[in-house]
Amino acid sequence: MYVLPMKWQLLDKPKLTTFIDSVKTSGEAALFNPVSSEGKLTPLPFYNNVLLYRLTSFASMPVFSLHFLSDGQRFFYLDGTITPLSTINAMGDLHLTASNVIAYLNFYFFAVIQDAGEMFLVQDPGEYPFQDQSNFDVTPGFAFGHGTPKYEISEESDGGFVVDTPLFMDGTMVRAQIRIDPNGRVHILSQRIMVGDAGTGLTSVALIYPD
Amino acid sequence: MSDEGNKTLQDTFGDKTADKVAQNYAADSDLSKTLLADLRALLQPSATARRLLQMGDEQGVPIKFLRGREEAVYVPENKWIFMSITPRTRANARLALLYAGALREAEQNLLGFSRPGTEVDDDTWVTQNAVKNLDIIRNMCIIVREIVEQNQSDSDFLDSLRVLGHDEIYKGLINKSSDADLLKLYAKKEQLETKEG
Repeated sequence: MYVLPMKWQLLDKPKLTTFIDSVKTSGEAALFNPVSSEGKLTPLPFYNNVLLYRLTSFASMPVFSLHFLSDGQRFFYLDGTITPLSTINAMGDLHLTASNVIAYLNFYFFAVIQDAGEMFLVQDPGEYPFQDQSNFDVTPGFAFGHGTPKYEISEESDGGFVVDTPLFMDGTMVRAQIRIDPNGRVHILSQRIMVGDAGTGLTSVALIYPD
Repeated sequence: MSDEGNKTLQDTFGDKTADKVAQNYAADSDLSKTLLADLRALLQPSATARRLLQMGDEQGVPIKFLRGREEAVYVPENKWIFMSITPRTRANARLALLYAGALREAEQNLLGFSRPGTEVDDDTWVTQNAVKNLDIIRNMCIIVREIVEQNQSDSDFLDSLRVLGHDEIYKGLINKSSDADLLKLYAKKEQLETKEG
């Protein structure tokens, strides 16, 4: 499997100031203090020009981060709804391929809170300890590529994809068939509960933000 | 796939961000009001929580609800409380405890015990933050103890405390551990090195 590691680039002070100026609001001014904040950006393999930005404030404990998608001019806050992704995808910058669709799905489940609860792709159900809210690494990153035998990816005639994959869905491990439209909309077509071997445990796919 | 390797920071910004998107982080106000009322109701069985709620009301501690991808509470400045909620958020014990913890932090700040800045040395920064955080956690544990004393069948608050990783400190509190021992438990939990004396 090839893995394209996420590479966060730290914004220097002038760029951080520009970033904060673009996203700050008067109502939440306490969140946007350049002295106690850090900004980073990273490209995503499924967008041509849109980048993922992260603004982290160290003024509180725990620290908190806000994420945005941006073309460098406009910043769209990832608020847990489908709206920012839909807006960005409608701009035509999304380009899905068999080699980045898993990364897109990872990102989708990171950015969009599902009605069914917490959801993320699982790379290998046979390798991971049982995961619950108390030990789930909530600083996600993305596994690029599809080289493990656990995923099955088929490309559809309209340019969309269907992915058959283990999926952690609100506390349960399932095997899901997921359709990804060419415009980035995601539909879970079917799911069936997975029953693992005793003691083998289940783990999450590489949800890691390298710093 | 895009050519990320050649993209530079300079390329990511135009000369001016003239075409700005108006940002709106605020969660739905009706949802927020209902949530706040429900969180306060969950905390009512605890005298400590009631005291903190009253303090917040009397001191005018504002709470702002933000739309987000996770449920979390932050106190980035003085007495401001920010609560991040998702479209699925409903009042729950974990969030209620985090809210109570934030009220305690706001109270600390009002009493002059705010987070150290970058002007202090590393040891002082770690120690002051540890003492501050432990005090917040201690208050959360006291609240849980009081709620459990009122309703021994309640497991939500105990489970939430466990999920937050504070169960060892809770046990220490129940067993009347000294402040020093509680601090050691906190340090162990946070994997901090401690020095005697």
